[in-house]
Amino acid sequence: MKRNITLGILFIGAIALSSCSTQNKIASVKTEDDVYFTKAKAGDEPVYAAANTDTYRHDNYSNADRSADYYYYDSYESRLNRFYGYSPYGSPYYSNLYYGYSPFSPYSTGITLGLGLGYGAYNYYGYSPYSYGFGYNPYYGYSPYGSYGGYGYGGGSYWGPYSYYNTVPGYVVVGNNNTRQYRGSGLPGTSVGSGYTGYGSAGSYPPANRPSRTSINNPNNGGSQTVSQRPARTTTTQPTYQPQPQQYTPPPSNNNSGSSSSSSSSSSGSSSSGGGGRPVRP
Amino acid sequence: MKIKYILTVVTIVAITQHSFAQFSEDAVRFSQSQYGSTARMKAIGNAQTAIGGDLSSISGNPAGIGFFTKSEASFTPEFNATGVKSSYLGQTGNANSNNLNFNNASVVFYTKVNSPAGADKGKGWLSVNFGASYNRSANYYEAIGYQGTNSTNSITNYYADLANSGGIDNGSSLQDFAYDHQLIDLYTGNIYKSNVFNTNGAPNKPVNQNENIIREGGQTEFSFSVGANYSNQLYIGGGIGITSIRYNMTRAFNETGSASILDNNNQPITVNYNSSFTQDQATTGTGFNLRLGLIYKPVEAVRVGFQFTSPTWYTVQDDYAEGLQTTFSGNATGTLRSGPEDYQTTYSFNSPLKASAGLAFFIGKSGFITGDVEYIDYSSISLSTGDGYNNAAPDNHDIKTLYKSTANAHVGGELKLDQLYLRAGYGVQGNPYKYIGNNTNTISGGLGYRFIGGYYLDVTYANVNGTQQTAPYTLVASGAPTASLNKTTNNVFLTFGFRF
Repeated sequence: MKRNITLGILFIGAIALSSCSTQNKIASVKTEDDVYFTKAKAGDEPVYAAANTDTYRHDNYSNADRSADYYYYDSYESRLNRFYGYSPYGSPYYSNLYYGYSPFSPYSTGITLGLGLGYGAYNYYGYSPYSYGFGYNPYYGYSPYGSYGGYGYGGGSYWGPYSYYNTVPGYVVVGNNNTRQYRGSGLPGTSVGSGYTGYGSAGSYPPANRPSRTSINNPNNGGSQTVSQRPARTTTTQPTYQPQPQQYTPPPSNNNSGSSSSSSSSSSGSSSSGGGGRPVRP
Repeated sequence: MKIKYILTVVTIVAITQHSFAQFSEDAVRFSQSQYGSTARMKAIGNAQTAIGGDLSSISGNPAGIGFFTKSEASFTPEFNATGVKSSYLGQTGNANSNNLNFNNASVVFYTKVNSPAGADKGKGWLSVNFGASYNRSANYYEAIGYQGTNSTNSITNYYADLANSGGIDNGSSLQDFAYDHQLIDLYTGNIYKSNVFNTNGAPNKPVNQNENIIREGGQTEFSFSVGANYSNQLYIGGGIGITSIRYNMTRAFNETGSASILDNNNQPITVNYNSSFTQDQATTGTGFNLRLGLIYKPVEAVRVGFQFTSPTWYTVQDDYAEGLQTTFSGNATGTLRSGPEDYQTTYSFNSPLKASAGLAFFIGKSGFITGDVEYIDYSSISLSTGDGYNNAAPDNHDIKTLYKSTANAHVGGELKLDQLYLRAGYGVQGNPYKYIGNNTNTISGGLGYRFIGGYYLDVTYANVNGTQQTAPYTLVASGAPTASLNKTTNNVFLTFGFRF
């Protein structure tokens, strides 16, 4: 259903656009496809009416020398200059880029993209929280019409003290004891650790000498009850045991007060009756 | 054989520290993205390296945008239907996921280079074109479900392995949960063992296991490229990509069986248990990469293309939670809940660099055939530590030892019947896993039509099929169960484009 709607929208959109297209592009009588042998042709450089034919223009760095002789009245640069009075980057670059005169000029888009990579090496917007947005804005990040895109990926602030991430409430540094634990590679034929011995100094396997605890705080099992150490059991034989249904209230590891209601009355076995925790099983 | 070898090594020694994370699987997952492309390129198997002049070049081989002689734009929605057939312990299952997405939007601006009047207008630098595109480069939507009866081990054996390697201490780790739920106990010899399957008289009865996994999200990329045309023969280009990851996963592993637990007097009793291990993950990330490309026409009918894509440098925020719930019945009753314990982590990683070469032969203006080969070394993925992730060594070790370099190959062709286009393609995505897995194959076909006036419509169908194995849990001893997942994705892409 969803799909049908989308297709319908597309179809209607196609018809709508096609009607525009045929009105506006009547001159285009054949289909074109740049995959197949289309030939690009270079354009003609504008011919200037100036007496000086030196195309290098010695006046690049002096706005004061600019006069109407050097550029079109209608050029982008001249329009810009009429509006702003002067152009900060040596105006020819605007007109050159716009008219395709010098695609490799130092302020062209190619360089603009290069600056954008620096994650804020040119951190013009500094601490602005909006700088992140410019990185994805195709107009500022990629505009072929000017060098402003150079500031596009204003990432300097991205990682800074006022960064995108640190402004998220509650998302702060998480301590080591809340580190997500290793759950294996997820691949068959491997196991926890994968036989790798570089994980650190946690001890050998099977653990021979893990430090014993006198008590721990166990918040995951009913708040902050204190669980006593689970002492080793001294007997080595399994006690005989007759199973009988009983009311059982887990978790038994927390019942060191002995509050549990019923119990079976089988024999011996545990030397840990004082602690009440779960013993080592035979 | 190799797996056996690994298992031997594993059995000899397994030492682990409990304060590190597991992200290798995700890093590999996020590294398996495709170049964004239009329906046209998708129809010819995404063999885009040597073909220029299509908007796919913006996120693929940027040299290809040097071919444009007019500005052009297009957009491509997609429909994906993903089905996963599972096989687990002899039982088969099936799960499906359908979704509609926006796959691609592209624009190229044609910019003519001027030369002095009277110069040969077909020689030298003729145009410098700029392109920008939005691409959906990976699709993570899938639903997986499998179940089976396991008569040799249980997930509680995995918990015991965790306890033996990481210890039981602070009360918030998975093995602590399992201990609290009496699924494992400390046995003589100071060793944790399963209370379901072990050598000390646990019930050792078959358990029923099932797992459901739902994955969502995708990866998108904004690509910005520039391409230049030299004498209509040599095309060069470069670009950057800014990627964004959104990945959500929930999985629940459920097991029912019999366990021997200690009662209130520390006497063993046998109870029925129903235990669920749940994991929730929400991951976001951003990254960027660089691309360089070249296409050369030694003669008109032949195009040779090369493309280099740098590693993508990602920074990832990972929010992961796990919990355990166990219900006892029979000789003891009650329900225990632990967690969810939440872990927020930041880490960074780089995906492998990609290098590809392609060749295309044109039959006049009646069509072409093309192919390319792409090299990727998945074992070169490298993770770096971040907040909440202080040791990348285990993950990097997993990547080095469990993944390999591979090649992706694509071939395709197009037949141009005036305004109508017929296309077909085939692609093989190499298997990144060293010891398991298979290649993923893509079969595609499509139609296109170019209307008078400079606009066009392309429609493509692509069938992607691959089989992967996954282990719901892993064991130090051999015999951990493996689920075999055969994933089939049926995609439909529709591109509408116009020249201006």
